[in-house]
Amino acid sequence: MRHDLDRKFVVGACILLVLGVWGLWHTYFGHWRPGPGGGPMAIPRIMFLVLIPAALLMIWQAFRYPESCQTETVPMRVVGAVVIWALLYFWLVRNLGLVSSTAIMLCVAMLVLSPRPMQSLKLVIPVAMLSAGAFWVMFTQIAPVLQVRVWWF
Amino acid sequence: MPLLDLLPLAADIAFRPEVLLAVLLGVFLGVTVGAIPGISGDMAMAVLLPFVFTMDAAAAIGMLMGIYKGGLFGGSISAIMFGVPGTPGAAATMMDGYPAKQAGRPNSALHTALYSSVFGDLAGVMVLIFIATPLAALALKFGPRDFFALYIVSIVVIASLDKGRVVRGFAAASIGVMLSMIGRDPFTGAQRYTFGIPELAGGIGLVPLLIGLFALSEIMIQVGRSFHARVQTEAQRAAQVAQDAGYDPRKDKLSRQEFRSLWRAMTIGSATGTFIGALPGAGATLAGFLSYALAQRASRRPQEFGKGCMEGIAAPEAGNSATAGATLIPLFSFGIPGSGSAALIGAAFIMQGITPGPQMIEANMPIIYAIFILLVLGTLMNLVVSKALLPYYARISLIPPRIVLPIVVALAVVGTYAISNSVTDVWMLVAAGVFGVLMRGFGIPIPALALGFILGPGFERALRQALMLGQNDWGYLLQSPIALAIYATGAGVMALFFWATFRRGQPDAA
Repeated sequence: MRHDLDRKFVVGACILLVLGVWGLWHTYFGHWRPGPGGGPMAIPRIMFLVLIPAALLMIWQAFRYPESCQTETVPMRVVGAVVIWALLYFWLVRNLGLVSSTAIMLCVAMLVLSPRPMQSLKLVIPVAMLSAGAFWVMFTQIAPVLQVRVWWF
Repeated sequence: MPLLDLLPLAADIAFRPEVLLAVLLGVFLGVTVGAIPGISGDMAMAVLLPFVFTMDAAAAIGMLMGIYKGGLFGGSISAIMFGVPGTPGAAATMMDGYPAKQAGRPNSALHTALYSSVFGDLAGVMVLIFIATPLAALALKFGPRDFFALYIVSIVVIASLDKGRVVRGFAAASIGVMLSMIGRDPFTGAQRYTFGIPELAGGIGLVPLLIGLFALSEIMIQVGRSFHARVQTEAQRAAQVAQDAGYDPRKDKLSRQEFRSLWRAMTIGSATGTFIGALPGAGATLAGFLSYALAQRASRRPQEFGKGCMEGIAAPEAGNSATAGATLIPLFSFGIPGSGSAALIGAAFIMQGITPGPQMIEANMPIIYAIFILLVLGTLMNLVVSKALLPYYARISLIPPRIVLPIVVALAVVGTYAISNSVTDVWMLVAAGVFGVLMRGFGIPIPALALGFILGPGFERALRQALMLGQNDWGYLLQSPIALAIYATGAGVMALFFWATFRRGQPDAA
């Protein structure tokens, strides 16, 4: 099968190259506090020296072997949705309590992911409740380290 | 301390009911998550890391190792039953496991996988027990330049052994080391790469980064996939086929004679897995495929491989499970985690106040020997638990990821926050998750990145101490016979792998 050049892969490798060149320049001309054993810039310099040829080779390979340099299409909407869900859940845990927010947010997530939400209710609600109960056991009984409200009330 | 004085102390720690319960729970959890395609043992280990703070060292490490062992076997259940490997390590098991199931022998295939997994795991653990202590004693003689050599070789091997992605492996390892440089310089106290953000002065937290990279990023990708659809279709088809063919589970049993014929394959798998597992960077997947290839070459019936042959299940399963104990050899002896799973175990040790390295065994002898005992017990528990629950585990594979994944994200968020009740940790978790997705999208290997991050501080310490001793002469790094021996060994291992790769006519790429 013929594979075309994956531009996203090339752009990613170019970003790594720019990062490497900037980093190497910075280790030579940036403001560094002098220190023993090569100073604080010793390891960063070595790593940027590795990153630059690695990025150059990635660019070369993207043209030479395009079939093995394909990026995986990651649905960024899904990634964004998971991030928003995680942050909203965290905000709710701090403001609404651990058990209640866990039960609510798990119900929402499971129903959204379900192909037939209304038919899944019978499964989703008990699982979400049980999970919230398990969280209560884990974070308040086994490891009581969480400084948040447990219940809504 | 003499061994006879040590063993009762270790047994005293290992045989405490709560410790045994933790290991049992770990094994059960490991097989369960391993059986669900898309949920790996590493993911479960990562989200449970925060609980390590509240447990004692033996129970915590025992539980995590239980998950790892259980997960390795669990992955083979859905590989055999539905042709979908539960974990990447079970991909080689699928090559004969699924055809065996299609040939009407699912029960024999599952039992072969279980016994081989236990056999391989036990072999790896035994090698760990007998090799880690002498190696650690040897490592006590190492100076900073020898450790620098060890770190260089480990990073190079870790980056190189991901076949087909060597260049990206180097990029990943260097990015990982760079991430570990963020924060205060341990020698001068100067801040590096913090860009004026005070929260970064303490560096990137190990646990949020590991949970973000191993669990959250994987979930973000899994949400968009439809493993479950295939598993369910396969399950319905299998039920229909079994009904039509009049499948009788009583007739599908692994005979003693058949089991005896598997010894050669299991031994080959165990030896290969132990060797591969002990190398930094080479994981269960490589061990499984290499064991399969070697067992096929040594078999009296190589033509039957790929058609449901039990030897083709026994070898890769013993191979991937043997890595469980062996992967801890570099961690226990040199403080260098050889795989993503070993990195998570290493993080658990650090959270317990035990720094992995050559002094670890000597300074914590009773606990380390208790962990050795628990590793053996965990293997036996895996046998008993899995044997008892085997008829039900195939159904566990049918649990839809849409039910499990939200629970894992919630656990990751609350668990990360629970470590130090720090909002910054949660932000770092989410950032690490998104960063992990981007890296996976570009095919940058996450284990190499995580291992680079973990090895970074030790790597820097070794280099700078060596340069201080050598008065900034870089040539001093090469003036030690131990360091030269390490470089030569590393070069030998690399040459061996590249030779094996090129001999099979599979050129390496990006």
